[in-house]
Amino acid sequence: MLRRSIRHAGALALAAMALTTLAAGPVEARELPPGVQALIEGAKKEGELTVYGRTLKPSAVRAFSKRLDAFYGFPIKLNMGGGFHTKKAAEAALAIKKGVPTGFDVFWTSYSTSVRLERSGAVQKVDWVKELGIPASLRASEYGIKSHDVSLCFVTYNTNLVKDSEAPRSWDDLLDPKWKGRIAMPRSPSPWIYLATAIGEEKATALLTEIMAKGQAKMMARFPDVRGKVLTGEFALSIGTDAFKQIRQGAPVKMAPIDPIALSNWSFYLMSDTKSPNLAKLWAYWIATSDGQQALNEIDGTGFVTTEGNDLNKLAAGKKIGWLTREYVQENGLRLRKKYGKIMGLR
Amino acid sequence: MARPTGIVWVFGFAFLGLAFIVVSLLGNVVGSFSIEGDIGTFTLANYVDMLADDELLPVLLRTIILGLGSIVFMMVFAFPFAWLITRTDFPWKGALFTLLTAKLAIPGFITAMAYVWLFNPTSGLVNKMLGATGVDGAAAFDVYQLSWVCFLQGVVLTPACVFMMLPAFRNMDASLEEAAWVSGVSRARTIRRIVLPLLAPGVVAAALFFFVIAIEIFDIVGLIGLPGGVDVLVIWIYDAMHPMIGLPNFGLAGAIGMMLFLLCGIAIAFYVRMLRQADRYAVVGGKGRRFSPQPLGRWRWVAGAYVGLWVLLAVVVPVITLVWVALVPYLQAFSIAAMSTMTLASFGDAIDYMMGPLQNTLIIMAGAIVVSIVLATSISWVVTRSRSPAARWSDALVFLAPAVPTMVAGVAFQFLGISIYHWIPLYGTIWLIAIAMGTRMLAYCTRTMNASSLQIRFELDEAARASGVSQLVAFRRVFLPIMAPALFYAALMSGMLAARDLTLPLIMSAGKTHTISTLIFDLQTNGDQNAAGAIAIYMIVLLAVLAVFAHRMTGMSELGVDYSTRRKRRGPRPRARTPIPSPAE
Repeated sequence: MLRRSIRHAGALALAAMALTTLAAGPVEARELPPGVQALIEGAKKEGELTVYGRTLKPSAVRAFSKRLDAFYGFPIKLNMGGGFHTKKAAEAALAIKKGVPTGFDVFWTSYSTSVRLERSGAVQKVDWVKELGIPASLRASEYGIKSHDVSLCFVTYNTNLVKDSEAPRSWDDLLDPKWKGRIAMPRSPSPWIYLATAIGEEKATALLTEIMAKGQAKMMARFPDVRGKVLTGEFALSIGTDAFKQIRQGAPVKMAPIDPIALSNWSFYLMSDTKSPNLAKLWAYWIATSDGQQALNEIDGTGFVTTEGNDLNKLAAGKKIGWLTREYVQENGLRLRKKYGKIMGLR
Repeated sequence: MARPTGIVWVFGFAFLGLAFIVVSLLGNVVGSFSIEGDIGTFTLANYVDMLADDELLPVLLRTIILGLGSIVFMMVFAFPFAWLITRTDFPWKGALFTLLTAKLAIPGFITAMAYVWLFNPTSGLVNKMLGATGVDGAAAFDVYQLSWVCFLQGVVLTPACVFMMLPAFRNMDASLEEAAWVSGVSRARTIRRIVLPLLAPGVVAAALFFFVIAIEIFDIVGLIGLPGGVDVLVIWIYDAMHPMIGLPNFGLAGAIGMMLFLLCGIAIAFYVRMLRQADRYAVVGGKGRRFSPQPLGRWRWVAGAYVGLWVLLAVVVPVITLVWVALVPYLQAFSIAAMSTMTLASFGDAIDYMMGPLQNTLIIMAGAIVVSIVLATSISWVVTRSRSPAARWSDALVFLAPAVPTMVAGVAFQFLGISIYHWIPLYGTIWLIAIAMGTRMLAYCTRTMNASSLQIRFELDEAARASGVSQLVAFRRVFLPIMAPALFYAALMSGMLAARDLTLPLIMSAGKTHTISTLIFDLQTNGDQNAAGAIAIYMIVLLAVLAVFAHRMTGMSELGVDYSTRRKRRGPRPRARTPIPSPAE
């Protein structure tokens, strides 16, 4: 696992270096790889791109749009929206089967949804490496291109309630009786599926079982609710979300220095009925450049763990990383969802 | 002889409304036999799994307690409020109406959030003030209890219930009450023996309808019940519809939805039985009604205090919470230290964010109002002015609609949109969202209208027919004017709920059709609680102003003001307020 994460990190670093030359400022069309340049004229005619998958505030969407325009040097109308991915994937598959336009061009999502999208034929196969010259390490199966790394099993703590010296440093620390009833976590098995890649399935199962049996945690409906509970001081710790943005704002919250951590990728997939295929590819290409990565970090606080200096990179420094890969999701996702869901009392 | 032409439109719209309802009902039934998320496959496993679950009976029992508890708390406020507004000289009717409307615009989760801050066991403000915080029963108050969920749902549902009952309260013949007083019957006995029986259809319909709503809504259950381990059916539906891996389990959600159908079925059987005796409740005839509001005297202060209590619980606490959330840069509990971080920046951001979504929201509101009112009026006319058993069962079908989980209904409408796209390209547009919302509101609108319609004597229809008036003219000149208050309140509710509904826009949009509710959701998800709070405040103000404006424009304010003072200025009111068609019509 460690070797894989190092290999992955190395490949991403090389990719970032290769793309750094593109990031010195607004890139002229002539500086782009031929495959990308070839898309520009078509993209200008398309003019509008709709990306489904992320719930971003309007100012963030506008900021992305501005950076994208500056990068390519022509105006692009960017729409973005989010919702329930698994449901939207099923709906998109049916719409495409019936010849009905889905209404969006790019699906920006995690592996758990993309596996379904690929299987249903709702997304296009794109050879990102050959066509656009993107490093092979950023390829997500034959269809997608990675955009950034995420985790659903970060641990945060309220600094008014927990001293830095008392903050948990290992996953087993969560079982300390002093946290009984003081941990907030989402009503979802996902954090534990992530964790299984970092500490192993057996250990993750045992940890979750004990947390539930000892009443260490209370479950909240959504991931953002969990963050809110720690921010307001109702709970001392939370499992599930990061608090990078709130830390920047000066909120009394920190990320617990727990080792190891678990990460996965989010990727872009081109819908097979996209009305703006050129723009969709340009968008995906831009996010993979260091300019796009910088924009992601500045606007959204996200990025690859290997991108020097971003929040995730700082948090992961020196820690072992478990990777929730597409293959792991495909092989174990549904089984673990049921297994952990049962322990948590979900249906 | 009455001419049948024209009235076909009314039947046509009623049929269309029923067809839309069948879409969501069918979506639930078909879904319940599907293997997990694969619609179209067949299995009985969802039912087997659900029925074999040891927790089913306790969960069912808890769900019934949740429904009953919520309507008890709701009626404790809603019944006196409807009575104060329509039957008394309560001096602050306008303010009460405005506050009830404003409450409709406050999302339920905000109310829940406010109470969590005040009464959570570990850091709740009230517990802290009492010096009694802690887990495992150490706290003085623990909001994470079923009783709190019932109480808060009751408080939140009060305005909708008042608006549903108002038309029936208004149409009641006051001469019956007055006759009782003149005969020396006490007020309490008059209410028990005369007012309550006459209002039975309206009150029972409201209670049954809100029982179904109380067991289906997730806002408060999600924020309070779920962390407290209050397991009810709607949480099972939530689990089934929100997997992070794999498809949403429409199958299990559908099967649980069928369990809600069963609970609804019991309520509907009771309601249909009551409809069979509709004549007993008819009090609006061709003769004029004298309307003389009961003077409250010194009791007006008690009534004012009671209204004030609800305003404090339902409006002041959540609004203060919203203002606080909007003023601080990140979510935090009340404290002196936190006050130093307050800023107005979020109110500026909110205006910047709102423009596009506000336009979509207003379009959806207008669309939902048109769909719900046109279809519901037609259905209500067919159901209540016809003595056919088929009409009554059509009404039962409408009544079943709220039992379909909103998410399942949204998915069903998306599937409908895809299926008919090549003929009517509604899929992916805000119009399909408006139709889905309008359809979701049909049960509320028809309950509001039926209660009024049942009070209209059949002799009026017969008189119109005997006078050679066509059914359409009778519908226009007799039915609609008498139903005007019901139409107004149904439209008001449809508009308000369309403005704040989150689930349908979230499920049915594809990235372009943002509404105010999805904007608030996006901001919250990203931790921008302050901008979300500021937008919610703007929306409350905007919707309250719109409602008051509509109230005055439509002339409904005539019924909302103090008649005793108006009579002093203008002299006695005319005896008849209901336009009666002349034989020439």
